[in-house]
Amino acid sequence: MKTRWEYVLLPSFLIVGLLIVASQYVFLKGSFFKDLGLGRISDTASMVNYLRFFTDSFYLHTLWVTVKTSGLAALFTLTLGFPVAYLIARMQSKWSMILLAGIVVATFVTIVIKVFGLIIIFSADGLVNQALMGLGIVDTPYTIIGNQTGVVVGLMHFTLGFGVLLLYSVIQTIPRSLEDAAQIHGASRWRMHLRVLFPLSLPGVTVGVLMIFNMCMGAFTSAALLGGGRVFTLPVLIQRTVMMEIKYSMAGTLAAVLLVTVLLINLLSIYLIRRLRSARLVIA
Amino acid sequence: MSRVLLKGVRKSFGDFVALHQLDLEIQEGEFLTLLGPSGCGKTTTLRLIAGFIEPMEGKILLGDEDVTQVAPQHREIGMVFQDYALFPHMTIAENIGFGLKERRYPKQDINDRVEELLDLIRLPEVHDRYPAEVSGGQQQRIAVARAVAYPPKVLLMDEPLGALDLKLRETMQIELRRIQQELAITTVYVTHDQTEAMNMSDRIVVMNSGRIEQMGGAEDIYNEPRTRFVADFVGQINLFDANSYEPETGMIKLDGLDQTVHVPVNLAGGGESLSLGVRPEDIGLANSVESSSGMNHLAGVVSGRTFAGNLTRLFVDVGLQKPVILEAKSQSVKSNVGDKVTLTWPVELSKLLSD
Repeated sequence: MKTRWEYVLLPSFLIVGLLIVASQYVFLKGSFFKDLGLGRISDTASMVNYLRFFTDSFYLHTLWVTVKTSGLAALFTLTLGFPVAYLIARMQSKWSMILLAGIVVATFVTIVIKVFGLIIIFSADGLVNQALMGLGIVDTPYTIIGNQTGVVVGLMHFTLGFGVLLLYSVIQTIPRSLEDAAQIHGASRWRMHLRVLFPLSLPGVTVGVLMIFNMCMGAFTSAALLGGGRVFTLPVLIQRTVMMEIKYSMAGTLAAVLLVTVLLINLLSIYLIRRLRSARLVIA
Repeated sequence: MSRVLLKGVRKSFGDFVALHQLDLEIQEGEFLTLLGPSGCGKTTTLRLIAGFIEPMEGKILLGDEDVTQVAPQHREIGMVFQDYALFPHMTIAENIGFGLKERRYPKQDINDRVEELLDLIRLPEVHDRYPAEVSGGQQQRIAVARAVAYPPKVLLMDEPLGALDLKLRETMQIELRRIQQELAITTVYVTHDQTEAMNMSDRIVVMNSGRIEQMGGAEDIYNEPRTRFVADFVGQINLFDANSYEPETGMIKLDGLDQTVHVPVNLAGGGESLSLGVRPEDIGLANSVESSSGMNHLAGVVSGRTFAGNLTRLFVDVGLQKPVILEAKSQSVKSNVGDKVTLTWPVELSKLLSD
């Protein structure tokens, strides 16, 4: 009889499944019970936490700030990352591998160190402010700590490397000869990008941007450090709710809202791309 | 439709010299093939004409216009790529009409021209399909139609048949030649396949390590190769190292054999390292060893025999490292492995080659 080797994979599948499902289950279930203070939780299920979330402008504002900063960071990462990724993907020398390796290394350096680097660069007498004041663009030092701009910059710093790697792999799949063919048959570089590169990379780029957006939505460290206790995103708020307010159920509710929001935005984007594609504007 | 002129064109990539001082003129309406092994500079030449790369020295002229500094999209060139490079997200009609749309032709004109081209390539039913939905040979023809849609000054083809199987490649050779002649379009074709080059071209340019080795019609190249490289690259040939050519008698001495043979007298060739080349089909078997005038002789032992349908090859050991190969109609070859034979070939078919 043929040995069913697939069964060997079963334990790891079960463990991974359990870890993912169980943790989600615990906080999703917890979100339906009222906090009684000091970490105690009521026995009877209710929607009280959700009611509070959707009636309290503070919570709603936090959700909005999270979506806004993540969306902006994802878009800026795309705008900054695409040209870099394109350049590396089309480079025909050993430098492309060196640059790619550099980006991988930089990407996997812990975000704590990178954020402190940012803080130093943007500090009152740091590089950026010295340059800005030296050029007479600003009079007083400009800070990114404790405002939304800072959070967006922090999130971009966190995701830019991933973004370049993701976009690189997308561009790599588009043969260079297609660009040559467009050009030799009369398309300027701009028209080539518009008629060939953009439509062909759109599906991959959408997936990439969504992944970056998802990373931003869940990013804690850069948002917490650059938010400086003044800007709250959902992950930052969840941490505070658990650690400082000791309201496990409310934290569960926040996590559930975050999860559902991310899910909805992703599904909506995929749906829109599908529509575009069936309308023959884009094809994969 | 116009001529192409490359004047003293040089190109290197880092330390690698891809082209040394290339001078080449392609006549109006001519089908010219750049033939050579990979790395010989043939594709570099094509990409220089296309404008994808710039020469470090020299000029490129299309017609009378110096296009050395002109961007590819303004050169009015059509090109067929090795992987066809059809746009996968556009229909076949959109692919063919690409160049016309980029040049802002009215929609109706584009449609008419696409129809006309689909007729030319004999694929009238495929407008609305996507490239992935047609066969490799059809994609190939669509790529040709796209390249000639906006009547280009020159048509460039970069090993366009490389991805097709042998039978289809032969059909496509005839097809491409037909389209080229019907449009009377100046064509530069790049290939490493000598049969393809000989089947299609008006003129062949054999290239080797960034230089032109020889150019001429298929018959010139095959029958009168000037260098060892050309003789070896185009067709099969037996090569013997030789020294001391005497122009008055046409006598040369073969290296490694204590024997002299004759080549035609007063050849231009000469110089240090010479070789003798004889095509396998020019060699026959002599009945007797007695020398007749106008013929060369070489004795040996048959060391191998292969059957290739209409032809049979004999491998004859004459005391050199490599056996001499002779090729003849199968029914006329009676000798077997181990037989002692005398090879013979006419003096006028002996080729004196320089390095």
